[in-house]
Amino acid sequence: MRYMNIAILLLIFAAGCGPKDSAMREYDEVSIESPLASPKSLPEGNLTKEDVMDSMTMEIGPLQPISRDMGSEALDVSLSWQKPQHWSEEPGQGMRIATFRSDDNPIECSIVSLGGMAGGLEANIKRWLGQIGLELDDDQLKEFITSQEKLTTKDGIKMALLNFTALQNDLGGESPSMIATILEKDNKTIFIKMTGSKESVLKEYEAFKSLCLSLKLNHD
Amino acid sequence: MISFRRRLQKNKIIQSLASIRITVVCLTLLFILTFWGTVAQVQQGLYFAQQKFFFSWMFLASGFVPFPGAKAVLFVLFINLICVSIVRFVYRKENIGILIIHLGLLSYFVSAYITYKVVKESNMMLLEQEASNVSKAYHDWEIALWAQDDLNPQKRRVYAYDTNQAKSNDVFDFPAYHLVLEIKDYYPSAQAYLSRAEKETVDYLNGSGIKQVTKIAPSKEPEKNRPAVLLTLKDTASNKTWPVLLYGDETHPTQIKIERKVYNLVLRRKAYQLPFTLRLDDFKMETHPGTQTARSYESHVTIEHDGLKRSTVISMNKPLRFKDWTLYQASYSIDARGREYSTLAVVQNWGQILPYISSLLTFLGLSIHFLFMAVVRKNKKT
Repeated sequence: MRYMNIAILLLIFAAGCGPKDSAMREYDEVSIESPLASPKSLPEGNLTKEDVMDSMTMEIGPLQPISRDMGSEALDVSLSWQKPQHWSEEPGQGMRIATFRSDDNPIECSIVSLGGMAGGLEANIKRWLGQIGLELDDDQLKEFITSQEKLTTKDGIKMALLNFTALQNDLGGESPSMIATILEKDNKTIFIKMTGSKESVLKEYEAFKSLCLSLKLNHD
Repeated sequence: MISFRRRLQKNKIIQSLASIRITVVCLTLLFILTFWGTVAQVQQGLYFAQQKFFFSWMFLASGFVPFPGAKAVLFVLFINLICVSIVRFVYRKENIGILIIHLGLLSYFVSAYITYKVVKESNMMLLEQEASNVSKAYHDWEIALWAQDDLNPQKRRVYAYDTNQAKSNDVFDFPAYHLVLEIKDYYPSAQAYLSRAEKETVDYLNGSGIKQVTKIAPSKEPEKNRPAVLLTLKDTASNKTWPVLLYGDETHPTQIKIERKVYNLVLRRKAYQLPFTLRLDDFKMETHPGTQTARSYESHVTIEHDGLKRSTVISMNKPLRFKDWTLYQASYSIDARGREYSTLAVVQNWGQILPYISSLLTFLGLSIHFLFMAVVRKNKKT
């Protein structure tokens, strides 16, 4: 009877235990890249359905082997800026370099860095227009780009401040809107985008402009 | 057989475990855990609430009061039901229906346990015309290492270690390449920086140009967490070492060249090898008229297995089944370049038939018992 009791207790204990999974695994991985994986311009008139850059599912481009030995030089160009005083900054992850929020108005501003052309100016403007429910034909788009305020930083970086609120004169202050800019430098495309309601975004216009003007591209 | 059962019936431990009080307490605890876990998941998120209340043996309520988790309660209830069938059950032909019902209930426990142990849930994200034979876990991560083969870049032999329980001083051995990894620090959730703080003196190798990582609080949605690991890679043949920094799901692996051979090292979501290669031929989406909202979407794919190819369509209501693998159309995305990606949910569960068997047994037992009772009642009337 005693041995049966021990056997029963051991059986119950063993049934509740399981092995710890710490062994090395081996497997064969097949990965056939798509010919679409090479960088290309966004086709004309093709609006994207969601801003995948913000969800960080973008690819920089085809796999670039980087041979590294001890003491090799850095390959990346880092970006620095001066944030507006009443904005708070959150460090970014991956392609999103930084996120800012205003203490005074409900806006979100992000800096995203991508390799290569990343679609070009007109294609990205069309995508952003789609996100806030607007649409422009080619002539209107060219007129919009031409009419936007042009900035040049102290380092000579040129950019156009794309103020989408100018297209929303007949919409209320609570309509979703944005102000953005794109700059291309050293085989990278940098997007700076501020989103929020039309009213909030307009109130933070000067702060956004000061952030853009403070941008510097640093080489390590 | 009968005398063995009689011996078991007389056993004091089995008699105690067959107590009806245990059944009542277990059912009450399950009720409390279900209610508590449902409320807690609003604050803590679904994944952490599941882990704490339903997938643990025990947790600390309010930080200091031990409370049994659903895993412990169900285990005790299972033992209780087995002991009840030994001690209390009267094996007569009139009770055959109840016996089968009881068997069905026990098999529910068994099938739930098997499902919990064997099920693997993951996903595949494919660009149009991309092919792959691995799916990626939602919450689990691995350090993967493979040797570069420029003659056969589409296929590689990968060696990987799970890192969910990784901690400082853990050692991962890769005997095929005479390489050893020693973990210096592992952060389950981390922030990566392209610039280095002045106090950071180590120049880590990293394939994306990341110079520094810092530990941050994990998100209550664990799929948003990206881990980081600081490690030392050692070539046991030459005793050379390299400090390496890996960040979760980087686009580029970190490559290290050792004596004319290039090794790729990456921290990524745990990969499961599928028994076939899947190619996304085309992704099609329909939107509701006048809107950008998707009405339906489907993936036109080709499956290659053992040299044979087959084309099929995976859509929102039509999953692909292959042996014990099931692929569902879960989501899609389009990037700034207009490229369409299809996301497929991948589930491997060789125990998927078990709950159906349990349900069938329980239904059979109920049917037999009610039929028997109906016949007995009819006979009594006549």
